[in-house]
Amino acid sequence: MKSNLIRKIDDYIYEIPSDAKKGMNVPARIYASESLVNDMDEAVFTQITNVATLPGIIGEAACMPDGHSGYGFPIGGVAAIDPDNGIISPGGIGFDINCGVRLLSTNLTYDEVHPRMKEIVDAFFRGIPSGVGSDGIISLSSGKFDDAMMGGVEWGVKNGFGDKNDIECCEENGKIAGADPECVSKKARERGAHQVGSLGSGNHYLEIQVARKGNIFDRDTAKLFGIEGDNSIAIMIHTGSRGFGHQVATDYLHSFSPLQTKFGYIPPDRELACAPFHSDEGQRYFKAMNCAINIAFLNRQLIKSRVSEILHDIFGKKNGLRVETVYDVCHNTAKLEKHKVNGKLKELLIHRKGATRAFPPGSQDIPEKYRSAGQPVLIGGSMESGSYIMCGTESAEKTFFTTVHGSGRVMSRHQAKSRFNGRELQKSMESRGIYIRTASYSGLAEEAGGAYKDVDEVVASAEKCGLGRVVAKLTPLGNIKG
Amino acid sequence: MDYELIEDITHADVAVRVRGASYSELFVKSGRALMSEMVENPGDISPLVIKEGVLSGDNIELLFFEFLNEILFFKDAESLLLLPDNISVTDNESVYKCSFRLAGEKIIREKHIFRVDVKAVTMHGLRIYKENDLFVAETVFDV
Repeated sequence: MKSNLIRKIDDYIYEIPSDAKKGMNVPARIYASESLVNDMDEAVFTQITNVATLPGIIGEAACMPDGHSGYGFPIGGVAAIDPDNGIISPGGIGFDINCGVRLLSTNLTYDEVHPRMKEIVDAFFRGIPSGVGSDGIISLSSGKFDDAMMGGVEWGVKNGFGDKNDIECCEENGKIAGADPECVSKKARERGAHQVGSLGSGNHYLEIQVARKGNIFDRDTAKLFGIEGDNSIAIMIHTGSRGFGHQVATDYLHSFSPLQTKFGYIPPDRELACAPFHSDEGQRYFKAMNCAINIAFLNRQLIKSRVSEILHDIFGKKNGLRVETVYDVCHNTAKLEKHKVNGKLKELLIHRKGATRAFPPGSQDIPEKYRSAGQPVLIGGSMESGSYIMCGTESAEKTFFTTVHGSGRVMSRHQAKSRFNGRELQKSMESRGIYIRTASYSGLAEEAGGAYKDVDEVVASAEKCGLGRVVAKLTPLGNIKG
Repeated sequence: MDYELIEDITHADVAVRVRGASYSELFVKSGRALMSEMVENPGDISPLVIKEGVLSGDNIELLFFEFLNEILFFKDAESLLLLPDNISVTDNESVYKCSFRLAGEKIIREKHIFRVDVKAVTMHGLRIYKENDLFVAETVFDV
């Protein structure tokens, strides 16, 4: 084991006990195979034990198999907080509030798209704003922006950007309750109103994927999720709330920081600055964060709408072209959810940072059509390796129904840039059948497949931990990156 | 490069260390470091647009955080790439004041070569301290 503080509970659970660091209220648990734990950088263990010091934390501070170091929480960090005596922390959510993934299914096949891959990717690259400082598909006036903050996907559908299925197939139906634009600063509005409907940069992308023969592991569930069979084409969208969410988090982190003495908790990392959930400060952040959650839902909705338009332009002659939202999952949120604590249902504030909610079969919080299978869980791998669809299972109760969100980095951005060359990588990927357009070759190098863990091992590890069940693997064919 | 990358703090983001003879120099160099992480050719940013302002507070690290986030705000709100032009940081009985003048221009895709978008300046590991005769700032940029 890397850290001598970690003890093995079983083959897929490792624990750092609550007496390992001053101030820990609960133990920290890492859900992963031994090799994945060994690949985690030491900062992950520091960060997850910091999470364990948060006031009101219940059970454990959990780290998912794709965990890697970030700021505040590690990426893959989960904390269930008792809202009655606990806190809310922007550092447990991240600046990119509701960064998440939307998966679209289509009735296109590999044979139809493969010969036209460059045309499709080029059209996406032209039609979907991406890269630093990119403006969005729409620019919203102040009044409309307020409506969008409260309406999320519903606002998009009402304004002609989607249909009823898009609303049904998002976490929270694409519109989380409790958003209050009064709690959003002028700066956040100025920063975000013109970026709605843009991918952004970094690890955000839009990818054309195929379910290759042999990669559908549960055909019935895959079909339920819109993956009709071998060689079906899907589109994955990974982005968040853009500058709007970044400014909401920045504003409240800045305002919480000097108040820690007043709140009676001095965090081991200033990024974990927080406020009691029921305090005025905590409630204002919660309401502003919910606005950002809705803007992120809308952002992915607008991109979905544009994807559909572009595919209809290209494949217009195909009768009955179908481009449908399979599901839309959030990675960076704090949500009020009911979970069992000591056998009784209790409302908890679940902070997930770089982690995915994974509700089990029968949950009333997932679309009715998916209740027999469990929530679709969308795991975005690296642009070279592939992505997965899983479904939620009862066995994930131990992590408050949370699982992995991606591969997880194994190399820092700087290390990746030293190791890989963006232009060479682009050529190499093209020779392997993955056509990619990017706004930044340097950014492309940072996102090389070699900078990430083996997604197959991460997903297998999640399944063995009981954090969901694998449905299908999707392989990249084309990608646009910011 | 007038700053160091710190490797063992974060894999997902970018940690930097900057040194300066004064708070003012520290802020200037840190602002440049921030822009250098976003743009490969910050030297090609022409000083066509000026943004000025004054920030104050009783904590130098919070002031630093606020100052750098101003640069990110203008990047998104007005599509401006700005570099520190004239920065004055003063300390009057532990009330710090930063008067800033930033200069730059609108993003031009054909001219500015982008690396990544910095979403925010974080407080993770944020500290300003003195080492020998120099001020040192360490911070993490969320990418």
